[in-house]
Amino acid sequence: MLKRYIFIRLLLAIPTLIIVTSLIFLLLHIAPGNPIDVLLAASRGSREIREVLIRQFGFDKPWHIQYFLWLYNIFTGNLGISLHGIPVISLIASRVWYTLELMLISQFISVFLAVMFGALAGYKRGSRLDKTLTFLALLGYSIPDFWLGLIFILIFSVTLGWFPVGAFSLGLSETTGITSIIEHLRYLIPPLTVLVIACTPYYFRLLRASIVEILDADYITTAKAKGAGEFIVIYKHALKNALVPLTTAVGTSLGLIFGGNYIIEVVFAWPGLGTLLVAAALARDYWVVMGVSFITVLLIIISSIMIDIVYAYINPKIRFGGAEY
Amino acid sequence: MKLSLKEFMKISMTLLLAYLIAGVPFLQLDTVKAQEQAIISFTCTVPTGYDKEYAAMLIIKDSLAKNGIEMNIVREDAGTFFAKVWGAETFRLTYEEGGFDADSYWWYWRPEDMLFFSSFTAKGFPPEGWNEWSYNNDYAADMLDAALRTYDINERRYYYHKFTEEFQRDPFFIPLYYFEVPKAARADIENYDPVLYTQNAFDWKVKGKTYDDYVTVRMAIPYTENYLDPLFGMTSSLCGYSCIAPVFPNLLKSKLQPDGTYTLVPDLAESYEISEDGLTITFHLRHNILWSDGEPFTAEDVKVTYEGMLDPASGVPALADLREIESIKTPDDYTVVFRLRKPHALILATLGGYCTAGIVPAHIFGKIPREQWRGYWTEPSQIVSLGAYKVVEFVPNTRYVLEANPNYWGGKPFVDRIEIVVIPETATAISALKKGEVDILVAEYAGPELLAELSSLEAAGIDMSFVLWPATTYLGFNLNHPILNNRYVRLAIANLIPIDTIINDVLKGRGRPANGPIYPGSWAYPSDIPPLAKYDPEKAMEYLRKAGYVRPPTLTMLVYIYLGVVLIVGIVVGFAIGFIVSRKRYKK
Repeated sequence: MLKRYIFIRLLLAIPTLIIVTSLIFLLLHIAPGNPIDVLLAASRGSREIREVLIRQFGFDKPWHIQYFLWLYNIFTGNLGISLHGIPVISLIASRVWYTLELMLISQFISVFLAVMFGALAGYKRGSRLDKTLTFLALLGYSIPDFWLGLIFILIFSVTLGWFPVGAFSLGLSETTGITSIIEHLRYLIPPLTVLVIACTPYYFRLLRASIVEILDADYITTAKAKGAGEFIVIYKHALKNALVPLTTAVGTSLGLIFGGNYIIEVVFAWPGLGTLLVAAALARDYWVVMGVSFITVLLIIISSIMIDIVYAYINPKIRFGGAEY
Repeated sequence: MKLSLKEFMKISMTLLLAYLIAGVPFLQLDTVKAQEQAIISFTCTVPTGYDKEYAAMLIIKDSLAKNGIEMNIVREDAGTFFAKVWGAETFRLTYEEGGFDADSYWWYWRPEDMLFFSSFTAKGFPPEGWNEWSYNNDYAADMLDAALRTYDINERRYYYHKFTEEFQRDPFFIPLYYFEVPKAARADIENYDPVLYTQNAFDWKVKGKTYDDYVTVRMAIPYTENYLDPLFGMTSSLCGYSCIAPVFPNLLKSKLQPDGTYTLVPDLAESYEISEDGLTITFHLRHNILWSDGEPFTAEDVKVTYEGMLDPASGVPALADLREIESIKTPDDYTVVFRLRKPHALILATLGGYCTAGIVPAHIFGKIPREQWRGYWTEPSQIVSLGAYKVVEFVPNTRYVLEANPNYWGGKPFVDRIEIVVIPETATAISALKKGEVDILVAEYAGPELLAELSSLEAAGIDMSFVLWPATTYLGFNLNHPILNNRYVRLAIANLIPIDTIINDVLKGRGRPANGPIYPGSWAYPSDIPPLAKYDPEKAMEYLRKAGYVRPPTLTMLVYIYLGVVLIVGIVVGFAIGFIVSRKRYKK
């Protein structure tokens, strides 16, 4: 049952990928400017080179041919070559783990904190605790993460010296074992903190709102009447249902998660996919943009399948195949 | 009619409010004037990331508006901007047609010589040269050509002077200012020069350390282009100047002399001669240099490199500067003879400095088809080099790590390891410099943020002395534009630029007005020619009249009449209100 569901979803992924990547390809080519002119303008190169380079890169072929060639190469694992000769695969490979690490860890922590505080605030609705938490959430939600990042660096890295300033020296020192893990954590914590502060409030408010709504529901009153303890009431009955909208919210932010957060990456010099994508887009490096988009969409599809499975686990009413159950 | 104080106040307030509401649009007198009488209107494109230029354009826009010229400023991302201004299909079009009317950017140099004039042409836009403004001036072109055909520095200086005079008579851009950048390097690093980036890293020393100590210097750059080879990587790329320059030397190199000028000194070539007719340059190469794979460095390497660059099939952008080379011969293993079609004074600067390329090994590049030269090396382990440093680590878009080459023919460099890290955000880079996590910030970080931190960085032991940057910021014109084509219009605009305000407000005093494309640090700088940009509205109007644009009578009278009418109407209305109010009271 589950296996068939996953198989169908993966099969549907192929047309999704094709549609999304062809849209991106189209957008890239419609935008003014082309990579060769951008490349040569800075070096004031001569005209003959322009024609040669256009031929070498295959940009003289019609658009649909270029696209299908690219698609064909994908199936053989070749994501193309960037304007400067580096294979796109190695550009992405050197950065994708950093993006995944930062984003996934920050999402887990955000969801955990949101669930913990959201349930608490929802249960003790109206109390001073609830009011404080909601206010803090509003603060975290409103403060621009760019500014927060710079302030964090100023206070904790420059003045107090607890963390390194940004991650540009990540990987430079050769430490092993426990020391290297601690080192890595020191680089990870500043952007992680800022991301968590930026992300948690949104999930918190969502969860709190659903808890408040659910606690008024009949089945909760029934459980209480049955004599179930407070903790069981919140945890077993309310929370599971409250997680449904939260899961939806996480599902819809998958794009933001896997696209890499450009602002955070710039502020902390984090070697992730966001800076790669933006730099490539500005330089009109078509294959890099296509490659990063392809990987991002792939990750989104895989994680959205996983989220749907989590969804079904939380809410027994939603299963795959329906009637057979 | 008797009014109490309260009523009087109420009526006065109403009057005042009505007056202000009616008068507010006319408080922006200048805009109204410009829009009413904008006799000339055009769009100026500024690429994003060039904030000083944008700030200067805003000041110029205001000044032009006061005098009847409307300049709309548009910011475009650098990719779009370069494509429009340089692209073959677009550079001749006006902004509305998809090109540009005016642009604001830099004209930049390499310090040793007039290198940009090597590929710039002042006459139309033949395939060989570039001329994004479509300048078409025979005399200017002749002067530039004459300056190329002789090797005598005094003669060349004379021709560049003549060129600048003609340029001021018929400018293709208005030169605004030359600007200074702070050194932004730890004070104990000696011989670092922001203009040379890492090209002279071999000469760097650190106070308090010795040759035997393991010395590491870390340099921050805001972006990189991921090149690992000296052919494509060198031409005008930050990656070339700062990451791979010390790895791939050329025949000559730049050296800062004690008097502040730059000259070309021997690097891989021990010496050279130029023939009497100026058509032959003979280089004598150093002996006993080995590539990192053990092969000897010979004249064949030079020949393969340059012949490859001259072949369009390799796609190396440097072709533009090397066009005059007719043939390259190697009579023996250590002699290279370049034969030129015409005398070409810039050929030495092209073969030296680091703006063109570095020499590649013939035993590798000579054996592969030239179409495969681009991107041939993608891993540091593949590189075969013979410079003072070698690339030991390369993470695309993140860092380059260079280590001293123990077999370098000039001896072991003082600095053993150079780490070049990419920090995109200026504020982060400044924090890192303050805390000591990086030692040098390259000149690309210079801007208002860095200037604001001047004193705190100096307190942290960073050398923030200023260096004149080899660039001229300009406001350029697309000479295909029907209005801007007229040189009187351009000269009129040149006389409406409050250059002192720009230098004080935008550059905080760190710059000086420019008189032409050539910058003061160059031997050819015509110091006796005054700056072109100034604020002289009388002269500007005279030029506009010569151009055939007459300014209609000013609106000032009309505006005053309008304000007067509003005042009278206001008073009448006020009295009327007062009358009605008092009548009402009376009636009660």
